[in-house]
Amino acid sequence: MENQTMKQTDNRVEAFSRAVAAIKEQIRKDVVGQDEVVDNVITAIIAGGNVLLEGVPGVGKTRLVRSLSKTLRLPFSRIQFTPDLMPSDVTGTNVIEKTGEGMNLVFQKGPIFANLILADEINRATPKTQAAMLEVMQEHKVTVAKQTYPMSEPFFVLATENPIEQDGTYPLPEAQMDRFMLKLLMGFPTEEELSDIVTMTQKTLDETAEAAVDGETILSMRALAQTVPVASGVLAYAVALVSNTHPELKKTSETAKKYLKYGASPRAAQALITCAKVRALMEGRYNVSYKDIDALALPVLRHRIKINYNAINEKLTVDDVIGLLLAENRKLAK
Amino acid sequence: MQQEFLRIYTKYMRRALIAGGAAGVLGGAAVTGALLLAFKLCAVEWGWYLYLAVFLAVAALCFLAAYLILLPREFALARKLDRVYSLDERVQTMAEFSADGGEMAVLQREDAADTLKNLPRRRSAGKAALASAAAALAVALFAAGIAVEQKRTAEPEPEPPYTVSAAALEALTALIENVEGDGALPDGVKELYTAALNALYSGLTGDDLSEELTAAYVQSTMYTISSSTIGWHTYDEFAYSLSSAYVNNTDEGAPLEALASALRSCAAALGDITISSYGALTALYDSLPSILYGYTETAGEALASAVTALDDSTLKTTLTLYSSALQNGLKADGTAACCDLLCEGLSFGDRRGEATSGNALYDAVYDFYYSISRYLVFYDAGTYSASKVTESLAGATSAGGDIYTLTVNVTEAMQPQAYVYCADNYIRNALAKAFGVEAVGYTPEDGSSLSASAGGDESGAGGAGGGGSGKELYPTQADIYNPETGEYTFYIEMYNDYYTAYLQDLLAGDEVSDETKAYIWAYLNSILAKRDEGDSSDTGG
Repeated sequence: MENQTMKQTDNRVEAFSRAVAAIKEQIRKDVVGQDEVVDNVITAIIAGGNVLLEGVPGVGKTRLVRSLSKTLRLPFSRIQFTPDLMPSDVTGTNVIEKTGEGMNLVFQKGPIFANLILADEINRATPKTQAAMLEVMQEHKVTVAKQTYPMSEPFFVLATENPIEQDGTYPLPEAQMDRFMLKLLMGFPTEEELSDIVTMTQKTLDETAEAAVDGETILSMRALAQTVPVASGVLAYAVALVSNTHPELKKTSETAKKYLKYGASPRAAQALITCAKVRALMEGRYNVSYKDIDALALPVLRHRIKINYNAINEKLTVDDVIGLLLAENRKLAK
Repeated sequence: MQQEFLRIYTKYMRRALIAGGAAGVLGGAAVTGALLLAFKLCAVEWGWYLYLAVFLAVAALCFLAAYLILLPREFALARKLDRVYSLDERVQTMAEFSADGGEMAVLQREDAADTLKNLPRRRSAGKAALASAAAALAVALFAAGIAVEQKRTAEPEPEPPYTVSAAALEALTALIENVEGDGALPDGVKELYTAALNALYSGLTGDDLSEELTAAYVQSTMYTISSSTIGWHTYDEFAYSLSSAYVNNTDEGAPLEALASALRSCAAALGDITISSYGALTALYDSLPSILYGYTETAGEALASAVTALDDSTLKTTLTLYSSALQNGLKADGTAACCDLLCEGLSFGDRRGEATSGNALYDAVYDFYYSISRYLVFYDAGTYSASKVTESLAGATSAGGDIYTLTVNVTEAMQPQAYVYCADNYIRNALAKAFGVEAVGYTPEDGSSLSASAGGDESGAGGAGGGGSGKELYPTQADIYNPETGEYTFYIEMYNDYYTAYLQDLLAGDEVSDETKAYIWAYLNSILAKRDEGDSSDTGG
């Protein structure tokens, strides 16, 4: 009996690996390069978190999400955030419907009611509209007129930000930022990648990815990932990394004291471990390693900490500071 | 513990044991070798068992230390394996979740075990090189320690045994011969002196001598020799003898020339006196007979001149006074009258207790002679010549008559004591010079008895005549009666008081006061009274 259970688990792990491979294979049909971004997006989906994608226009942010929605066979919804977008435009609203018996108030679901949401240029929406996203991103439910409407799982918000256009944008509040598990930067493709992009899109602009897994599989993968053991040393490593981002603490890193205004919330530590478990399984391991934490440090922390004028003065970016934090933290691993 | 990990763990534990053993042996060898090398080069000798004990102790300590350091702890080993072999924390996760029964934990353990099975062999070249170098050093130290020869501290060269210098022994031998050949020393004194000096010689030619011991021997001999001296009493003996002789022989007269001759002999018999006045003093004595027999102005002037010629101020002062008295007496009474008076047998006892005897001549002669003789007694005996004394005594002839006998007896009685005193000082100073030590000896302040080996014949004049019989004249130095205090006191204290007072008066004034004379007489009488009382064998009577 025990052996049977073990075998099942083993099968699940194998299925996990196959599913991830299949997802990647399908996405690569539509997205050239951006391997790290693709891996992290898959990680976030399996981990049950939301992703903030930042990149200049045309690097494939929307295409990635579209491709992902096809691959995961999940209902997809795209919300283009504009300054005039209202919260009800996102969540839905009650409308009066005329029926034979009379008039009824019927809730008209908004575009948020999907499994995979692309919140395009989320920083263009007003804070009020952004706030409407907070509840659904964190709790996976919407409350309209005192009525709560749960989202179907898996629910995943992939938001994009355009870093160039600052006019007419509303920077996301820290509270909302914290609800994104990962913040990924989609850089400009290399020449080779660009060449491939151009070649590919000459043939067709449509996504050609096919369904590889479904929602149930994702949920199953999520449940499996949660069982991956984390050694106490690795856990302490992740916790220390997050603690050391706080300059106000007595026992903190020198980097934080020098370059940070404020540090990451406890959600960062949760995100690190959760995503590290997924990543370990994705790499064929049954345990979380220090390198999993290191690999996820940037996407987990970059939107949760704020650098101070010292860092700006020394022309350090957030990623640079996180690099310094990692260097300090690596002594713990020894 | 998972089996594969256990296998590795056991391998590490075995390695810790072997490394501990090697560390123990090499550590013990290194420390023992270092000790061997150091001790041998520093001429410190240790037994082999001590080195063995050190080796075992150090080896045990090194083994324990190395084993405990290298002994693997489960989680530490797990972390080390992950780090060294880049196992992505598989092993430490496995170790931590070894008891977790969850499916994923089980799979993880299996995955970790599979990884451990295929671990490549790793050899740390750096560590191996370091271990080899340490082992080589330890072996080299040990080998060096064994190979080096034991140095031994050089035996200090024995100091040559101390011996008394040949020159000092020669001087001592000469001194012994001098004393043995001295005919003037009373037999008892000579016997004591020669025995002491021979004993000293014997001691100084023995073994186990040192400089300090030599000095102690010499000074001990000095004390032995000085114990026979009654030098402080010499002039007392003379005074007593003289008075006794006169008392005993008042019925018979004696030619004055015999007295003068005796006086001369006495002076001459004192030998080579270092005082520069000796020649003048001798001349003074020489002129005395002419003064006594036939006083003339010329003789008187000669006497005065002779006194004036003395360069010793004290003596000159004294003699000036007494020569004046002598001359005045002679002038007044004339020679014949003086002799008559003497022949009429003035009792010396008449003078006792009084400042004068009533006879100026007699007093003058007595005082004159007395002061000279007393002075002469206290001269430095450093140049005293024993042989001259012997010749002088041998030259003395007997002309019969009491005065002569008296003076001869007195002389003879006085001489031995004076002689012994002088001999004592001479011998002690000779020893001091020969051996480079301080001259020591008994002094009257010691309160020790001074045995008079030249005590004189009991039937002689006042016990001051003839050869030495070793008779004790005065019981102790403390037994001197002080008439002023009515108590017995040290002789030297009494003498010093009298002498100092006498001389002070003498030097301060132009004449000796009656009080001073009385003082002196009282002193002399006190000694004589004690003599009469204490010693029935003395015939000073």
